[in-house]
Amino acid sequence: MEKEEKMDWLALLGGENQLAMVMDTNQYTKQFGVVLSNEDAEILCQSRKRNLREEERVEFGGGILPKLIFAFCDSPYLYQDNYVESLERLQEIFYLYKNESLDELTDDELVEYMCREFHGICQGSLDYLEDTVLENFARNIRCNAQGFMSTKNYQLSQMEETE
Amino acid sequence: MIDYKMEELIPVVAWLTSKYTSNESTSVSYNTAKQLMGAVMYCVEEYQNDDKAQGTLVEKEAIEVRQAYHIGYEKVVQKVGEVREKSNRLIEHFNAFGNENYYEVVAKAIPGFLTLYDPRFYPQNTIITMDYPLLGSTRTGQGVDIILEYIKGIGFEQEFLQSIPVNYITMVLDGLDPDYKNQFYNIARVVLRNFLAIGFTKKYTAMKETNYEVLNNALKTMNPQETVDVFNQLVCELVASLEVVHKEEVISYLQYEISDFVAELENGCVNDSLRQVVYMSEYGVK
Repeated sequence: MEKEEKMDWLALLGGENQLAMVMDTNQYTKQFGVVLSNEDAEILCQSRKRNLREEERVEFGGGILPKLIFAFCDSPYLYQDNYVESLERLQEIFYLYKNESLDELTDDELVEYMCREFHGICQGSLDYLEDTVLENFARNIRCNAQGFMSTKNYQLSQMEETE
Repeated sequence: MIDYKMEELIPVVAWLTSKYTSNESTSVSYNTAKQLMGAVMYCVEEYQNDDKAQGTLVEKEAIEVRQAYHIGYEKVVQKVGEVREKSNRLIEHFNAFGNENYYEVVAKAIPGFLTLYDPRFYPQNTIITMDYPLLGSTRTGQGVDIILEYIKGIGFEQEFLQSIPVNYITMVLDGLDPDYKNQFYNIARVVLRNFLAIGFTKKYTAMKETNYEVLNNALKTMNPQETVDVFNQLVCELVASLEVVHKEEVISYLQYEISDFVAELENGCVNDSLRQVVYMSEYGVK
């Protein structure tokens, strides 16, 4: 319990700033037809706290949400109706795979890979991104495999498996 | 002693975390955060303990925790330098007298500590297990603090042992336990006990012989506290007669052993097992 209280202290650090930073992204995202209301931003911030607690991670400063928003807001698979839900999922997936990759990846590397694969082989499926693509990716990282950053190599290995 | 609150420590931990991740990650795992919090607290304690050691009578103004952390960190780095210097000096003339564990600790474990120790992100990590037990091994602490104490202890022990002829030491070690080269006990303890037992029987009996029966009889003439006092005095006389540079420190170090030795002797007298407690060679101290 003492450990959880300590970690709650740390998790609360960027609370207020988070909301403002997330709302600020609307300035950029509105050109793509997606914006967040105050309630949406609040939902995402609460979701962030829950994800951090579940994944046993601590976040300082600005957090990953603005980065995810900027990376995915222009996606053809995201539109206003599924915007909040998709961002929640992406955030959850992000924290999960930061752990699964043993923190070997920087935030930018993971976000970039998620974005590329989501628009590529996953064709907009968050389930496929989480359960297949990132699963294999993280396994390769843990095994310290070469060439895991190459999508081409991944596609080749997928083709070999189906043959 | 200034008691810093969590709200004061957290910004320093946040700064250290951004340094740890090179600003490339916005989050870290609980374990990493706990480690970094420990790092900050270790350095702040270093600063506070140093204040205490300097015996400042006037309560200083509370300095910001960030400043306390940086001063403490510099002290940690300084201590690492001290460990390195002492280790280099120690290894030049070190003699393990054939004991493998003793050799491994000084020749491999301590240099390994210096290679792996991280004063910035994990100063509280002791890394090595210090398998070779020093006299009075009840010292507490972690990180570079305990390693520094450890290496100082080995230094004083080596000063003591190297002021005695090597063949005498190996005779005593071999006499107590022919397999001493593979054991995990303290070498100086065996030699010190030999000197003390012989010195005690010669001083407190009229007999010129020194054997277990004489020792047994001599011990019965005193209560345990008197025996402790006598042995403490004998340590002083012994070190005074040897060519040792840091006499006071070596005496203090060797005196750690006395309480345990007396307790084991008492037990040895009761159970007729003095031979397991101390080796009394035929050729005693002159």
